Amino acid sequence: MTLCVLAGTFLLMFLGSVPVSVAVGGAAFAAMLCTMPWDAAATAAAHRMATSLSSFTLLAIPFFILAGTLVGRGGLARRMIDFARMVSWPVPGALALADILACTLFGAVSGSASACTSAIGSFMIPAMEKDRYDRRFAAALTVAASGSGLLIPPSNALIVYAMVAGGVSLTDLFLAGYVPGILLALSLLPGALWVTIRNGYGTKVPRPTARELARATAAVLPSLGMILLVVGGMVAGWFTATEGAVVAVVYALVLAVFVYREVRWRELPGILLETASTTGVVFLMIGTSMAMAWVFSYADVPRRIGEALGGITTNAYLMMLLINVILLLFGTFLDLTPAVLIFTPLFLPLMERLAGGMGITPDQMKYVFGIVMVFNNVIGLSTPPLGSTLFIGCGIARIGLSEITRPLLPMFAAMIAALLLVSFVPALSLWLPGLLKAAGKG
Amino acid sequence: MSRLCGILERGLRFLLAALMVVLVLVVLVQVGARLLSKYVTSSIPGTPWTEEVAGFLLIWVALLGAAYAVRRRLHIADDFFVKKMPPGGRRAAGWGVFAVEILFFAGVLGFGGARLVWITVQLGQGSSVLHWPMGAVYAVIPLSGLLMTLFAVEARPGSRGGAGS
Repeated sequence: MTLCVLAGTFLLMFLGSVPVSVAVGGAAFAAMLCTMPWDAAATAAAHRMATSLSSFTLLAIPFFILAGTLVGRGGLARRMIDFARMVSWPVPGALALADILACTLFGAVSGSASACTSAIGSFMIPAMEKDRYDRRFAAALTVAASGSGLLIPPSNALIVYAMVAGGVSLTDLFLAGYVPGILLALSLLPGALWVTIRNGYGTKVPRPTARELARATAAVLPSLGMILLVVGGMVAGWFTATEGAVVAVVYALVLAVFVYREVRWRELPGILLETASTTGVVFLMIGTSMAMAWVFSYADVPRRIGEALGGITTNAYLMMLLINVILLLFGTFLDLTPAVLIFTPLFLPLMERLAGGMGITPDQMKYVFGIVMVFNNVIGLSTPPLGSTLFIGCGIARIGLSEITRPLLPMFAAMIAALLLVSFVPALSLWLPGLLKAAGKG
Repeated sequence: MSRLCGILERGLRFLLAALMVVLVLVVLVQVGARLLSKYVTSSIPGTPWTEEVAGFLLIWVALLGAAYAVRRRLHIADDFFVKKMPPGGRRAAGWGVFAVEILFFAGVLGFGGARLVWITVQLGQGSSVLHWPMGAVYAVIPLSGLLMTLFAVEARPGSRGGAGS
């Protein structure tokens, strides 16, 4: 009963174009009304939202947004693109490779797939078109590659996951994201090169001189240094994710204001305000999703889902596949943050119980599943009918949804293949954190 | 109406930028104190208050930022299905969205938040480290609920009001 009310009201509001965060909160409130008087329900919902927001771990999110905005202003995209073009000169479809590389680097530093699509896309899509690429293909490639930065740390999506999963070391979770994130970017490469060569896209990029190459590398190193400092500092135990994020803010401020001189002091209040409003949008979503997760546990939904799915199969690999299908389906229309918040408590306990079937401990499953969860939703960002990077890509390239979908289809196939690989081979996620832990002990 | 909302928005802009600065500074103090006591001198006292204060500031920034985002129409909504409806259906959906927003902003955040503040004050609940009254921390819930309600009413269907569009 409670669950029907929840699903029904949510779907109705969602389709009626109520803002997602309000629809999630409203549905949670409606479901609470089934079991308690309305004044108690309103108070409980408000309380649940406030307490879930005052988390020190979540505080990393506005700081990473702020650092990303500071560094992303001005010439970050241009520098990443210059560098990517120079290192990919020997490849026949140099700009296709450069596009993927630039998206991955920019996405990792800025931490935002939408910012990545708009910043890299507005340079690369016209540049690729001028270089005899098909505009629809260029747009599709940029949209698909933009998500990889969400898996490569620092990643706000992984922070959100860590909060709901509980008992997860954020440092290890961050490290677990590297290989799958790079794999996501790499999965796009063979297909992109094949299409490029077959259609005769692109002219040959001139070989850069050693001096040009050195200059381009020197230009990107300071921005990449920010990630190195934050993740390195976390691994070394100097600071937590939140503290690392505030260090990133200071680093980004110095870099943008004094080194690159692309942000002026009087622009700072605007940047702070932009960060606060983005934080507001994301956190209202987090708060209402946590209220909904509370209703779920109240109505005993995770156990019932576990029983229902557990009746279908007890094979860990099949279950992983099943959950992947469900997540991909929902990911086509649900945004990343609410999807992670809503589905993690439903599916994680189930996968933890089956961890032995994949030869890993329940604790290790927490990390693998977090990566799989975010990977799924990253693909969802670029799948029609709804997806934030998808819409931005269409807007920049000035093409319709149907025009971008065709070149995107083989890219989905490649990304889903990479997703399945990450789902079924836990070592891809666990290798790097394990390696550094062994190095720390030895 | 729109003049009042304009004034409120200007206040919000100032407050949010200021809160962000304080938030950054508070956590910087924490990092600085920890690194100093670890690598330089152990006589620096621990700063358990910073985590608590930062957590409270975060609630304020998040909810006031959300209120600002309501005025700027930044909250993500999917109008994929509504866009395909005839004009009459679209108008109805617009009023439906308006009703749900008011219910949530005024009912859950406004009323529910006010009741939460009232209960917390009655119980005299304080925070664990600094013993700050939790009622004051939670006061941002009804405050942001009120602001969101005002901004939503300003941008109600059929009106020309609202900042974003």
